[in-house]
Amino acid sequence: MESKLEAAVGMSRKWDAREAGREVAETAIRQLHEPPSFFLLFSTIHYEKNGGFQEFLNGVWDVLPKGTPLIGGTVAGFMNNSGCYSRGATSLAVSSLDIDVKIGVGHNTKRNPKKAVESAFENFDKKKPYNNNAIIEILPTAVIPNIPGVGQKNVILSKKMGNAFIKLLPVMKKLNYGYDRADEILQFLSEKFDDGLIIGGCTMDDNKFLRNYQFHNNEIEKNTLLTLLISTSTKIHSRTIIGLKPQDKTFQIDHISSDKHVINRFDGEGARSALSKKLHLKIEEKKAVYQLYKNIYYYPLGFKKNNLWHPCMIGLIYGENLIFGNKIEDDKLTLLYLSIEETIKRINENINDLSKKPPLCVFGFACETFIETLGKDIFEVQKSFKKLNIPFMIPFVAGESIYSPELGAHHLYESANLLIFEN
Amino acid sequence: MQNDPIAMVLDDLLRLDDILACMVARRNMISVMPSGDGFKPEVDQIWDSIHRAMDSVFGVIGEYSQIGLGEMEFRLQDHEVLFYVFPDTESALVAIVPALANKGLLEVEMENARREILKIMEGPRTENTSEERDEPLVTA
Repeated sequence: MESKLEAAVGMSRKWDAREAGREVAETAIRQLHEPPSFFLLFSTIHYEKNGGFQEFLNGVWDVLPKGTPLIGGTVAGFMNNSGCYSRGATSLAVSSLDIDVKIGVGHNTKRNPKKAVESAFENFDKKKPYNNNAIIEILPTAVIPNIPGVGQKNVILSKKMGNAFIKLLPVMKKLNYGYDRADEILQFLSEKFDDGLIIGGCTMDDNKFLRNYQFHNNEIEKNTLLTLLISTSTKIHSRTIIGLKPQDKTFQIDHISSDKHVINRFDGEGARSALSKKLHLKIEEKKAVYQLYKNIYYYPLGFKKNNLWHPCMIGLIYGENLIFGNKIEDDKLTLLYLSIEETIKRINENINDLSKKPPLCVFGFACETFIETLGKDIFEVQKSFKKLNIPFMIPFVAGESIYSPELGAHHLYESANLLIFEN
Repeated sequence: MQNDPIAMVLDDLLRLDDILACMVARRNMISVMPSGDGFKPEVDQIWDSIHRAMDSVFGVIGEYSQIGLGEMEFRLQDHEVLFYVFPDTESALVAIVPALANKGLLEVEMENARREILKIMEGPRTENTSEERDEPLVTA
């Protein structure tokens, strides 16, 4: 007889890292009848200054059975059965007698994404014990270094200085700063795992883009790809929620860098000037990196790939150069609009659909911009998920990856991707 | 004062880097302050101006809270003041944050604090209402 999967969500709002680690583990595993087969763990950045993440993990391992596969990382916030939070820690513990789980680790994701994927796949057998297979992927988002004497600059208006800083981008890559290259990593992963599902999220801090961490077993990592390969008798499927709508404005790319991340000219003029003019946007150098992003979250530029809109998030503006977090895979970008109404409508449609036959558990990654753009309505989204009356956990991250053989590989922003363990 | 549960909620909020001050207040009165040393030094210079401006805002809150006014905010120089109104009252959870702060994440915790304070204000609840705390268990 097939054994059903059991899942439980844990949480802690304690400030002390060790106590929070104990609590987030204990509150999850005490609900299971069997020891967990794997453990997903996410926390906000606050434990860095309240005992440190090693103490946090030590607290988890005070409680978690030795040898439990654990992956996770830092996130901006999370949503689970208890509510929505931008401080604290959450976990998802899953147990099943019919499951096989393996962790893969690959370092230096920004410097060499291909090698990181190959390392992560070293211990994976091609032959999988069960018919339903998925990878949960965790990797770091971009980091904007805080340069002594200069600060953490994501906008430099001076063309001369901007062009000088552009030349530093390859150096930043070698030092594991700069864009996350999550789209490349997803592409490599999907080539190695073409018959399964992949759902991924980029770890982050509290939107300062100064640092972020990944956790596996008792290790704290930076710049590391973590993959949790799940092979199970329980059926699983994925759902993708995007609330973006195309607008009438387009931008023809005249000049783009060889790595497809830096656009220098749109429509015959400097890219920044073209953007400011067309969108009536005032771009200023501000002390906080967040000030640029809160303006562009609602109106990303994007391109369509395999029927899905890919928003292209501007990470840096150096002179006339716009530096995007993801690769631009078209020669024309369309102005997109993040519709809150559309996002909530799609979330509710999916929840209503799931409620017809409630699954065992829902895990997913949603973009941190949901918190920025939905505001208090994020609590309404949580309430909708809660109606399913099943364990659910959705961390808010800086970039979401999804792959299925039907959908193809998509590294997205401003989206939510859900992994559904079916009943 | 040391064991005031509402003060403890404010203490938690004040531990966030970008919350420079927080309180439960109404017009002409601060009902509850955090239990420690008070507000962060960044607000010392601007506190008097903010305090006066708060009273004007509470005038609006007083007029419209009964018909659903939920939140208000204003910006003064390099600071923003956020008001999370307690429904059907003239009181609010008030926080002072830097104008460049990431408000989205702060708003989540402000809302959590408002909900916690409301629970405290509403008094002890019966045992049956613990469902918000329990994570549902799915078994075979």
